Amino acid sequence: MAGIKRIKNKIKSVEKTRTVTKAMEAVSAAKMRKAQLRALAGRAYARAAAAILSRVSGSYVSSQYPLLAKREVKKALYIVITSDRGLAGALNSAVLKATLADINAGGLPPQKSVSIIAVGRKANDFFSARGFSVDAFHPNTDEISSALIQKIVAEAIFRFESGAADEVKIAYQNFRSTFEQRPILRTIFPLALKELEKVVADIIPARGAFSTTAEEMRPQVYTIEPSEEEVLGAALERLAGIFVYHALLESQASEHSARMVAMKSASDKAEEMEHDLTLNFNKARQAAITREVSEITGGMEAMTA
Amino acid sequence: MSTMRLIIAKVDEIYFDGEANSLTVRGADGEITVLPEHMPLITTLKPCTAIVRIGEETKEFPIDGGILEVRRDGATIIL
Repeated sequence: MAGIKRIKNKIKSVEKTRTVTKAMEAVSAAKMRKAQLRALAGRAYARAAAAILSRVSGSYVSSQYPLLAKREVKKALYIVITSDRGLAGALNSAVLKATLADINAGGLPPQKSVSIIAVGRKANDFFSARGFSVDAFHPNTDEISSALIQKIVAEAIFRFESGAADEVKIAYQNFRSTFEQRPILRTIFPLALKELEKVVADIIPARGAFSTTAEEMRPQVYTIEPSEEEVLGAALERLAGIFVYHALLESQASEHSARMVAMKSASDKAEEMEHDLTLNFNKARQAAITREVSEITGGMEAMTA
Repeated sequence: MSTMRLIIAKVDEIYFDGEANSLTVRGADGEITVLPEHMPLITTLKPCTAIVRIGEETKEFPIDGGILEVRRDGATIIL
């Protein structure tokens, strides 16, 4: 009898797990959609900013601008974006691994000349444990505030301009479709138009409901007021903000879709287990009944004999 | 009356996105009003109230600086 009771308890607990994973799956699906919609809403802004930069970046002024100037990389700053919470498959480890690989490829002594701005608890834990200097840590919450974006941009600009970093890169999980996310590293400073154009292009996912859009026409020649220098100065901070904002969005869309897929397979597995356990339960119950019946018939026979 | 596509947006939020008849802001060289078919222009903005006219209706957006990009078929303000 103990066997049957044990199986019954197990079925119950698997059922409970399945309810939880199913709920998490649904929540992640909704959150993923929201992140995708927000990414699309930001496209007009990114396009306009890219047009402004492409108009002014070719000129003489831009080569003089410190935020655009390339210099020898002796110190690097990495902005690493992961999630706060786990249960999202290989999402975080992929980003962290890619960042480590990039740091090693750069050939700088990591603990001395590489600093980290961590967004998300996982990145903070990972780099703190490995002895990197984590300059700043921001939690990665569902609501991306412009205050957070500005803070990260200001930190990055400050370090780049003061010489604490000769290069600022941002690492995050790029959302390509619900089933495909890849870690990606982009250079924010020195800011390059090509990188920005890639960010704008990436806002449209490779496949899925949001993958088609119409292009606007951009004129070749603009009048610039008051001067290219001032426009460029005003634009740069905003452009860096676009990098950070979209990195945060992409990473959230990736987090939610990775968690959705992970939870889906967990739910499926739980269902399978429930089925097997129910089968076992029925077998055990049938065996117990058969045994009881044979005991009774055996007893009766003994009495009539 | 002809219209142009006007977008007023912050990086994470769109304040206005739609057809408008005109836009008045304070640019770097003083107040400007942008109508459809305006020549392409990029200018920094000073803190001001952006006035958007759509038909008889007028909408106001207080802004504290930004950049205005004007194309023949529309305009975008990034805050």
